[in-house]
Amino acid sequence: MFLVDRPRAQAGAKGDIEPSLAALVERHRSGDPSALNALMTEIYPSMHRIIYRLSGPRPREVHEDLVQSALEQVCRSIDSFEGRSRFTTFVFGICHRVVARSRRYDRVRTWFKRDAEEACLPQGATAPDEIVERGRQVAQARAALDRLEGDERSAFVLHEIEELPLEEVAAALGCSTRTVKRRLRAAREKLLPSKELVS
Amino acid sequence: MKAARQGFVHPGGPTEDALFDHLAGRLHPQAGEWIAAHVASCARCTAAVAHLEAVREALEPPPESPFQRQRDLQAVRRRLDRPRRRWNRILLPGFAALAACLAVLWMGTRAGPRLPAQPAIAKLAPAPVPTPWTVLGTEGSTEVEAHGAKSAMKTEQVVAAGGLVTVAPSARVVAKWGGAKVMIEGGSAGAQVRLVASRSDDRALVLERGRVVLNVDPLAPGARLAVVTPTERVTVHGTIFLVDVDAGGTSVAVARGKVRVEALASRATVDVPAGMRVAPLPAAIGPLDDEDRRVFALLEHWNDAPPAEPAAAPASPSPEKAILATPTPSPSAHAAPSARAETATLEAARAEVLAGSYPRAIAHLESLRRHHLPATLGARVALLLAQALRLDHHARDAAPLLEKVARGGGPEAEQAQFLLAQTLERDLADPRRAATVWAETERRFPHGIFREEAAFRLGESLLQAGETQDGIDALERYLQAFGSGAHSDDAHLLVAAARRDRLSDCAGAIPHLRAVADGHGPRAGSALIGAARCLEKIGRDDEAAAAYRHYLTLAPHGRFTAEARRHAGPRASQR
Repeated sequence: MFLVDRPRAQAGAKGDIEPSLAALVERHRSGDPSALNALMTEIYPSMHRIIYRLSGPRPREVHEDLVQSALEQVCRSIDSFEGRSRFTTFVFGICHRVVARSRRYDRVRTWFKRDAEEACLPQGATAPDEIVERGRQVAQARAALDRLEGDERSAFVLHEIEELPLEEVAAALGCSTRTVKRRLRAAREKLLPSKELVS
Repeated sequence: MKAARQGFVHPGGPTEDALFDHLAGRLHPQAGEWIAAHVASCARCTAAVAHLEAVREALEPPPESPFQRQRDLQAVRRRLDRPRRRWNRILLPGFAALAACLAVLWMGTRAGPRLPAQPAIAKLAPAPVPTPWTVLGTEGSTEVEAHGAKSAMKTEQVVAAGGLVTVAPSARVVAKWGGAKVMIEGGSAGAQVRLVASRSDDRALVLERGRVVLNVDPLAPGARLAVVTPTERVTVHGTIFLVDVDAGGTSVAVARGKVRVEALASRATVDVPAGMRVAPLPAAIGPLDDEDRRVFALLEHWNDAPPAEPAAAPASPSPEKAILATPTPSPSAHAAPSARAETATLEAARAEVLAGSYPRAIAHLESLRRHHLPATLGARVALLLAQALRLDHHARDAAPLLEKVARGGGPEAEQAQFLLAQTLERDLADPRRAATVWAETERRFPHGIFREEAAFRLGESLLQAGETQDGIDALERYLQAFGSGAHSDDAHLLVAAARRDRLSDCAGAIPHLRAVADGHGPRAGSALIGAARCLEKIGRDDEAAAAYRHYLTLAPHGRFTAEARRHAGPRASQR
């Protein structure tokens, strides 16, 4: 059995924006009109990053719309934040829901336009960066990430990349830690290269 | 039927969970060392680790594009100001209105004194109010026919729905229509207009012949304003436009905002934007002509006039009449109201840009540009308009404006040159043209305030355009001139990446990566790892191991810690 050695990020540690976010939320609740603006500015980079990680590469307009929708949702539901989790967890949960909703819409849209899209796909074109080995690997990784279900991707990103503990991932995704573990396991299985690929 | 997936676990190897924990640096060091030793000797695990590192790389977001944060935050503020489109938001007031109606009906059926109207009802659903025309001034022979009686039109006269206004050739009439102003021009064949709907929520006129020019206030949600001709229906949402009907058909010209023209026969629609006209077929869209500008200028003069006075004695005509009597102004005659007013409009537009009201700012700036402005002020207006267009996602329209200003001189030209290059590179994704403009900026303004930025961006654009050697040369020139400049780390990393990935010149990349690593900036760690990988690739293993060890001291829990531990050699394992 392996011992987990790595301590989770401590509140107040350098680079942790949680204390300043909590202070801004308090200022907003006490009626400071500038606090919401400052909060949006502070949380923006995290949301920009997490939305990209959850949704993958999208056209710029789509990505901007997702970020704006998530920010709007945060502003509208900030009064319902009860402080039972970190504010970033609350925000990540909103990002997950916004991206999940967008995926559902996309799925419906693709039912109707898949044929047209497939007809327009470039045949045999190789992007310049894929010539380089690293670029090829990253392209394979993107393809592997695209194979994940939305919930699996969210669990993987929040736990493995954003390094949130399982309990916070569960809070953000609105499920139990057991479900998170199951999704993580599924994501890991899909992300690891198959035996045929490496042998 | 799906084939069973081959599991990752293999004899002597770690479990999937252990491998992921190892890569995330979550394991105890001894357990980590054991897995690192296995990975080093197992082709399958080595491939898996490389694949998972690529997964992490694939999840690295691209940097924010320019202005993106400001754009997003402004857009969110606008969204928050908008009412939410939720059913309960629609249904609740509906139920409330219904309940209030029932309550009123119930009260109405009760014996006793009649109660006054319920204010709550008025608040929930404001009743439309009649919005007749109020004549502001006439010129020449004009008459109105209402309830079977004809009379000459005069100032302050009210024309209700159903009224038919006839304007003789060369005559005109101006009237207020709620928050809008309407001018009917007789032109060469006279004009005839019937007012068919005149309520605050629904205003419509039928133009049988002649020309109407409207300056329409922004309409309340759900309100409509339409001009109907024998062949078209023109609807608006707050704009300045004209509709002209003659023997050839219907023409529509728009000075501000946008109108929708719908062919009554085919139901086909076309949106006509500001600065364009459609005549007489919907397909024939082109820019405004001189006649359109003359008519809009006339209405603009009207809008600038002081408020209407009560009907005055014939010896002292009302301001409206005086303006209507003014001969058609030539372009020089109706040039600028005053330099102070224009500067104030420019400042107001700047404030609108800062507040995120880009369409309004664009409308104001476009109207300002129609005046004859001094060269410097004109250049500043064009620069601000270009910025507003970029922010409003119309970068393609901004580029010609910037090109024009850049052809001039002075600081405005330098700024335009800079903005043009930025627009081409970032908004229009045209790095080759951007590189040309950056090079020209360097040549034209060698001592300008953007010289450092231009020197760096030139190299960056050349690399993006695929001109590897020219890009590297430009960036190395930048590093010589601005060794500790704002972009020195970026320049070093771009040169290193180009040499390593495009020229397969790892040895040439190493000095640049080391320069960034020695700078102890935010990218020192990744530069150090890059240098270590390059050293490993060209067989300088000892130096590579030393670089990995150095990384472990710099970032014991960094993104590349696991990789550094695997490659740092036995000395790192003892750590």
